[in-house]
Amino acid sequence: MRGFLHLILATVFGAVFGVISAMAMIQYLSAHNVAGNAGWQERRGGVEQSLAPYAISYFANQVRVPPPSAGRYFVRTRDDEGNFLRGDCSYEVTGKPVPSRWWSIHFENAEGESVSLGSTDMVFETDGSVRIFLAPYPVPGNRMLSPKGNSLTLSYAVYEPANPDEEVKLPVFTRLGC
Amino acid sequence: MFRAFWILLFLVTALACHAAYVLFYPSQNFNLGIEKVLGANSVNRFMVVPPEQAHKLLPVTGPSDLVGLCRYDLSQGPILFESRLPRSSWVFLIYTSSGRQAYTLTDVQAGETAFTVELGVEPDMIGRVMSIFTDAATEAEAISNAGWRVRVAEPQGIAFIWMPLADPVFRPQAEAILRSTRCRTKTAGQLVP
Repeated sequence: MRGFLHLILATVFGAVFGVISAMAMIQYLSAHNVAGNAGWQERRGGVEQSLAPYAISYFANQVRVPPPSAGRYFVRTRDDEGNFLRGDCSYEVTGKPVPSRWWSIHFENAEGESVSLGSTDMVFETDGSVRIFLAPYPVPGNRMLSPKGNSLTLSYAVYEPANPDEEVKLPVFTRLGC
Repeated sequence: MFRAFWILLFLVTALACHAAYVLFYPSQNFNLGIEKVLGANSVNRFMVVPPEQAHKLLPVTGPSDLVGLCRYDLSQGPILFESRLPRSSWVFLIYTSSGRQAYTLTDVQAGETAFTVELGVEPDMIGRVMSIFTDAATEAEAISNAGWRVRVAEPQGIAFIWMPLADPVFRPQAEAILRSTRCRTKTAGQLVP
C-alpha cells in the first residue's frame, strides 16, 4: 500500500513538475532582452537556435507560426517606467526604423484584438524617423487606437533587415499619460 | 535504495512530460487551432485571408499586407502549389505542423510572378535507399520540370504567400490576381508545368 502511494506521488509530482518547468522555459527561453534597448525583447523562431523547440512552442501554443528566419520580431509589454501597457493610457513611439525591406508595428491585447501600422502606411518626419501615438482618443499624425485591456503587447516586426546580425537601435517608447 | 528508485521515477516522469509539452502538445494545439480558424474543409485549398486573421497566424504581417495561405496535407501524395502573383514584392513560406519553417522563396530569388512548387514528404530511410536505383528516372523528371520541388519531414502544415503592398489602393487588383493561385493534390504522372 505504501509502495503504491509512493508510485502515485512520484508520477503525479513528476508530471506536474515536467509541465510547469516546460511552461516556464517556453515563456522565458523563447525571448531575450535586446541589448541597449530597455524594455524590448526579441522573439525568434529561427531553426538555427539551440532553443528553437521552446521558441517555436511559444508561437504554436498561440496558434501562430514563428516569424520567418529572414525577419526579426521585437516585443514589449511594459512602458519606460516599468508599468504594464494599458489600453486607457497614451504612449509615444519615436525613432528611426530599423533599415529593412518592410516593417510593421502592432498593439494587441490578450484576447488577440490588435491595431497595426505598416511601413507603407506611415507618415515620416523629415529626418526619416517616425513618431507614432498609441492612444484611446484621436490625435494628429500616426495614431494607433489602443485596444481595451490592462495587459497589452507592442510588437515591432522587421523583414529582411539590411544588417541582420548587427545590434539594432529600436524606437524609444514613452508613456504620455493615463 | 527504494528512495533512489522513487527519485528516478520522479525524474523520468518529469522529463517525459516536459518533452511532450514542448515537442508534441504545441503541434497538436496548432493543428486544432488552425482547423478551428480556417474550417475543416480548408485542406489543400488556397484562400486569401483578411489582414487581421493573417496577423493572428503570421505575426509579422501588417495591416495593408495581402496574405494567401494553403493548409496542406500530403498524406494523399504531393501537392502542387501554382502561384500567380501581381508584380510586387512577395514571400512564399512553408511551415510544417510543428511550426518549423521548411522553405522560403522570395520575388528576388524567383525573378518571376508565376511559379510552381511541388511539395512532398521527405522519403524515409528505405525510400532513400530505393531512390539510388531509381535516380535516373527521377533526374529526368526533374530536368523536364520548370518548378521547384520541396520535401518536408511532416505531412501536414501551412504555406503562406505574403505580399506587403506599396499602397492599399492596389489591394483589390492584387487580390484578384492572387486568387487565381491553386493548391491541389498532384495527380499521378503529372509533371510540374
